[in-house]
Amino acid sequence: MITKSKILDFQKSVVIAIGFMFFTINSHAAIEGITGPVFDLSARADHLSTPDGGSVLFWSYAETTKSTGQYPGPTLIVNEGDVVTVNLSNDLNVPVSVIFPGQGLVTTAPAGINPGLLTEEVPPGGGPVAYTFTAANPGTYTYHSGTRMELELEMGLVGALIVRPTIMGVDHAYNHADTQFDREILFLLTEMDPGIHLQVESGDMDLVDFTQRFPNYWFINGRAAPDTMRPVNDALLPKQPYNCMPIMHPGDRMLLRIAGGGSDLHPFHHHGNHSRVIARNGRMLSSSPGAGADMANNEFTIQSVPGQTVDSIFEWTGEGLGWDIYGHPTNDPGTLLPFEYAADHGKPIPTLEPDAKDLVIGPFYSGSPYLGSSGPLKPGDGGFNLNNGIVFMWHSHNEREMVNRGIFPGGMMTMLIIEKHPDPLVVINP
Amino acid sequence: MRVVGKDARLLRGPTGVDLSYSTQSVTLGGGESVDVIIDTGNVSKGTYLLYTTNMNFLSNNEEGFGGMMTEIIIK
Repeated sequence: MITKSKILDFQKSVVIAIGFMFFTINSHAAIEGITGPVFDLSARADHLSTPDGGSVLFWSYAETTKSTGQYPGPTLIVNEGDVVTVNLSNDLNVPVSVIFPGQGLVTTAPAGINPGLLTEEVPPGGGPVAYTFTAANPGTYTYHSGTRMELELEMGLVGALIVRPTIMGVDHAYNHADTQFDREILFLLTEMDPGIHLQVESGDMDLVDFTQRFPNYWFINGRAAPDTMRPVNDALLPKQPYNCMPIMHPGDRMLLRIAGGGSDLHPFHHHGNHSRVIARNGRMLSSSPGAGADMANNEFTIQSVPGQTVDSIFEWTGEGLGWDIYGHPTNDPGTLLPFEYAADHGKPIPTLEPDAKDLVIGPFYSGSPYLGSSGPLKPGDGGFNLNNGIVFMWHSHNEREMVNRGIFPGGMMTMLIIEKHPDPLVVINP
Repeated sequence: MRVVGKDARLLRGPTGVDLSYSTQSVTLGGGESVDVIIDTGNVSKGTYLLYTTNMNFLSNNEEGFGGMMTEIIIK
């Protein structure tokens, strides 16, 4: 249960940990990643940073041109039909490999020199080995190690693969109009047991008992909250370049690409509205060719299981709230704003706001409940919501996963910010 | 049993395709919900257990036969 004291703690830790954020609404129209179709990656050890000040050894698929590791591996973005090649070198002291679940035949060069259980492996200090496949189907996928997977996935050898459809283009998830989106965001969900990482760092990787695995850090795109909300390529998080900061306008279609990259189930709960699940595991939920996503259903908690991906489209207009999100005056004859829910036009929020001295203001409150408006705040309050948006927490609903080593808030959590359409200017105390 | 709803929405596609399905087990993460209908029309009278198949949850601390388990009684 989230108690008031936890909310107070939340305020404090967000204020301390985030400091100041730089949001722009257009920065997340597309998912960050690298485009191929040829990728040069190196398996490399490094240390990542956790919001509680921790430093955890991890193994990663880093871009060979970079000098550090990166968690998770780079998001590989290719087009349907591309012949994709990953040239993997190995700077670790264990054999590694890479597999691409959901893709067709993967060929390797060389082949048969170091055959592993699942695919050709790259010996310590060796490589590159070229892994080649045809990205035949659009969708959301993962790639990860095919060697000692219980250990190497835990250590971080995992990343996302996005295949864009060639017929419908970059603003569709699949080759059908049902999958159109205005912005997209990736949720690669992973977790780590820092005790295992410490054991590996101590040279005892063969003594790890995975029956005793007990994760204490949970990540979205390689960051634990509140770091999820810091900018992309943040200087304070050089090994964790990706963030997860969903920002949208009312009426926008936001494609959520949710990928289970770890070993545990995570129920991903997106507050605010149901979303329309259009695909699983890189296949549109379609009853027959050409039928579109006619087997889509609406969910408010996406069950993400290891190895699976889910694509879902989220929209929000405030429909059905019973009050006018823009705060138009009663009997206002004005024209509706884009996507405004007409039935609630001019209805005030049905509550009396308590006196300011009786309120504890969160850092995302603009001083007004109305979208695009702000109001007076006490010195030091607010500050994380410069465009006066409406904010919803998005998080794993396994509540234990919203912590960093047991301290709330943290872990698998971020905030959705809905901003007024069109892009509002910053207005302070109008 | 037949799963007819998920997260408080009928399991129907946007064009009305019936997405409900029969199963003997449902997996739920925290915060998720499903609605299921158990048709007992062809089931004999008796007591049937409804329980989690995470067998280690069928206990109360160190005491066995407890936890996430209940009965369906058909009279």
